Amino acid sequence: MFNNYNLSDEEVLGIIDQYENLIDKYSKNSVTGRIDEQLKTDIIGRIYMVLTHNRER
Amino acid sequence: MYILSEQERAVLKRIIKYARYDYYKKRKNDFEELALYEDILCSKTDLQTELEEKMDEALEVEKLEDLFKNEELRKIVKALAYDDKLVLSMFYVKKKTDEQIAKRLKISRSGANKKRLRLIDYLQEECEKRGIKYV
Repeated sequence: MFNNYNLSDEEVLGIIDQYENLIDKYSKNSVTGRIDEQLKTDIIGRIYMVLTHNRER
Repeated sequence: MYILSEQERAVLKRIIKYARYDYYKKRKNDFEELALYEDILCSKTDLQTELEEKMDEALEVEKLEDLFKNEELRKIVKALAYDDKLVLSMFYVKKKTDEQIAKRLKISRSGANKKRLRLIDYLQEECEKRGIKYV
């Protein structure tokens, strides 16, 4: 799965671009309805960390 | 470009959900404050007055345990949740009706009444357990 969590930066960025709508949907502040940019950054950061965690450092 | 399988898509969604959950968990205190102002922002009445009333209410609720002379009873009351203290404060200190409490907590009148009676039962049980004479 996810190439054994060893994706390249380009691949991760490709996934993030492809699923930007999904990320935006979950980045919305439930009170204001607007996208919380800090939350969006956190989500993207988490995606990157998880999908590359088996990468050789 | 890396194409996600059905399973990978499900995992990605889970990653996003958990990231959102952790984000809100870290900022729990900030959002409790937001919740305090949320109904003010949605209200059509005077914002300044509403805000002052809410802040006064919060101060009164925080000091509720000071009304009790008994130290043990004070500890029991201090450990109650904010909403529980609010119900007690509104009914016994501010002499509000169950209907007014229900409106404030956005629950039904019978719900407010049950909540208040359950709180009294809880306090009585705690007092009996600790051998305090309930006043």
